[in-house]
Amino acid sequence: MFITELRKTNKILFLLVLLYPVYTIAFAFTKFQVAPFYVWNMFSLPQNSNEEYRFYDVYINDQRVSTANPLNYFNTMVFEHGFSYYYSIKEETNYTQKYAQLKKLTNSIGLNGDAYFNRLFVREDQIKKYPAWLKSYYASKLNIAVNKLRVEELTVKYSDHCKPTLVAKKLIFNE
Amino acid sequence: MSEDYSIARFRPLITRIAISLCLLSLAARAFYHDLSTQLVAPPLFRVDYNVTYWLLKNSFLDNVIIYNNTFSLLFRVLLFTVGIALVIFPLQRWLAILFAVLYFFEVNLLCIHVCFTPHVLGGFVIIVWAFCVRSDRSFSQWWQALRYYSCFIFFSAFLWKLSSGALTDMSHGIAFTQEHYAQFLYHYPNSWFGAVIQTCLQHPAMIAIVEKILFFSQAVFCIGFFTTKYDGLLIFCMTLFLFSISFAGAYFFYELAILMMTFIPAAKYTPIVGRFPILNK
Repeated sequence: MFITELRKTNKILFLLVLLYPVYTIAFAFTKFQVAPFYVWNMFSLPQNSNEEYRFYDVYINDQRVSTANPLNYFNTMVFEHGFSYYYSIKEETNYTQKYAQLKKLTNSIGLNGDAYFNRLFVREDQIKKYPAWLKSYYASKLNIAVNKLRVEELTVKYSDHCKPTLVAKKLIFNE
Repeated sequence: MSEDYSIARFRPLITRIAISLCLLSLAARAFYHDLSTQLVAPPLFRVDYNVTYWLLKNSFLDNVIIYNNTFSLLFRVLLFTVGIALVIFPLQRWLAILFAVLYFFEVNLLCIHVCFTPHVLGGFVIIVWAFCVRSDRSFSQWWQALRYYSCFIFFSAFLWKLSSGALTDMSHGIAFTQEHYAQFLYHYPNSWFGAVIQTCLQHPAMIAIVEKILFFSQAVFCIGFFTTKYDGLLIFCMTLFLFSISFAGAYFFYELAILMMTFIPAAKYTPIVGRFPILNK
């Protein structure tokens, strides 16, 4: 068998092959990950089809730019995921509490958890830089001068499954 | 199967194909300014509970690779140069190791700084390791392990859906499509593609059935753990799954398709090498 052959001849690979499933199962309980060993659990939760969906419209110099591109999911990723993350940590007051338990644990075993984990948090001043960065990122990406950047959050709900109708519109920032 | 090292005879060809495709995907991202080194000093980052990201963030490597313009450019040039050199000299181990390390930094620093980990990169980032080993035996073993890895990805994805409830949720498929097309349908309801999507959305039962078939096409990968006889079927299932999920999710997840290479038997490379012997030297 492949695995017994590996045990005799290729110890590193043997360990990797054996540990990967164990690690995936452990993730279900610990939520710890070690990139690039991904856990393939995306889209596995039930979804409600009657939900409201939120997306962000970007206007550069008062013209809407499309953030979606079927051939380039990174385009959307940099924007959509980065932006919703920005939005969540901007609003979330106890964001730095997330690693509190870990800090406590590392401190308790004599390691300086504070020093280690502090660099893993986005600081207040970094959050404030985000809108300006988005401007310079788009300027470099689209190779145009970005004088004005406006981002709106739109909430839509589907009527008869196929037509999204506007429920709410919110201005996120206008730089 | 375990004693068969015949795939190693085609190592130069396999290396060339895989690394060329990897470079193509990198070039596509470079074209859209979406390499980790093209993010223009992003202020936000996200490490979550990912130990690798913690180590990388605390290694201060991001200060050099992401935030320093000169080094960013150097890193990018080095990544492509080493990749191209590896395509030319596929048996040079040190080039393969260097490329694997550079690609590892590229992918992980990108994920940290775009605040999201796209799983589609899980193919290339692991496959490049197979080219770092010395002996023919090791290469064959790595390649076989990658085949099992591919089976594991799809089969574990099926098990997650089974245990978390997506498999039995009949509105999962329609919600997935609605979510990914919300912006497009809102802005372009009258476009021809919008009409196609709307027609699909009007048939929720059909979407649910198609989605469940796709989920079961992931379950088929279980066969891959026991036999190589049905690898053709697995390639078909992977193609079906990636294309359909790309259609429903509004993005083309082409990078994960590299894993199909691990299901191609050694014999299939023989005619290519017979016709173009230079590709395997």
